[in-house]
Amino acid sequence: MKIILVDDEKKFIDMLAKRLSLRGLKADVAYSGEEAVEKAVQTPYDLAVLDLKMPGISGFALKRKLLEMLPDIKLIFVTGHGSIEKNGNNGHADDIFLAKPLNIETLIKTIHQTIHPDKQ
Amino acid sequence: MNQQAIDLVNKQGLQFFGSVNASISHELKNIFAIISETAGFLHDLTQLSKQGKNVELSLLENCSNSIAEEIERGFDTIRQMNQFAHSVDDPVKETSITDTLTLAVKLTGFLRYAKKTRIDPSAADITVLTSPFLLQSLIYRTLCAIYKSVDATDTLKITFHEKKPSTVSLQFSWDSPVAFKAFPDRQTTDAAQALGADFSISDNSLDLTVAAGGESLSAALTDTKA
Repeated sequence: MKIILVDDEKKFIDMLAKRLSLRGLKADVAYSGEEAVEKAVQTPYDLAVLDLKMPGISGFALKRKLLEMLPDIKLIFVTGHGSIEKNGNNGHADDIFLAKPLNIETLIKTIHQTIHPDKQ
Repeated sequence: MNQQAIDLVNKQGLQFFGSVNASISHELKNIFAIISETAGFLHDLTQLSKQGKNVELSLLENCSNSIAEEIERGFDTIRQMNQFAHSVDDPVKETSITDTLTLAVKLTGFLRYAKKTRIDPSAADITVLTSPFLLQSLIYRTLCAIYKSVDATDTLKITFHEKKPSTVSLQFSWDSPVAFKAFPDRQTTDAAQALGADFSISDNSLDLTVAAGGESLSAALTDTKA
């Protein structure tokens, strides 16, 4: 399974990648939407974990770009906002959101459920 | 404070306070998220060590340093939140331009579209008799409008100087030409009028001239105390 984590909070995303690695899930990291797009050109990711609010390309804009490049990619949004709005102008009711701070076990469970929804 | 300014604080104040507090809470959540993940990683390392696996000391040291840095970042954020909260303590008072600009730059720095900004270190501080809250709001709105318009790679430069008679000129400048679409908007114009402030906008700069406490604001201060 090829995963990319995208967040402009470098320390957060680096630490998350290390913790996932200890649990057997290797993940690339990108510190901006632009960097994520560059990496997606090289690697056909199965899943992206995206921060919703980033400088430059926002989470929702990145979603559109990644889906154009990789139509089968699965997406999980991470947000630091108090409220999680699924039905905004750019969102979709089926989008998956997790709130910061993350629970690593919840994230891993969500990753597996997103990649293999039939095994739920 | 005159009626126009009171109405403005009531009308715009809560919205502005809410907006700034939302960005501060977002920043604090990011800080806590880093501390949470780092603490989680330390827990992971502890479990590995208990299983007899070798854990490099440098990993523990990095985690410790990271947590300390984020706690300092959190304290700094809370100091700014506290300073902002106190901007409504006095409706009108002698207000430092340097302090107001510095706080506005820090508060807008939490916004995802903020750009690199540098306040001219050689500009000598000036105090003006004004509404600190409205001035903070006016500068914050101005910075937001500039950040949304200027090129992502541009660095915003801010300088200021005393202008006669009894006015202070704040200049915001950048390199790539910009055409502002809807600035100043109605709320910004209202705030500027209440403060006796004027905008002058070109492709590469925005000048904000603020009354440094003329007769109208002195009278307003007297009204407040009455």
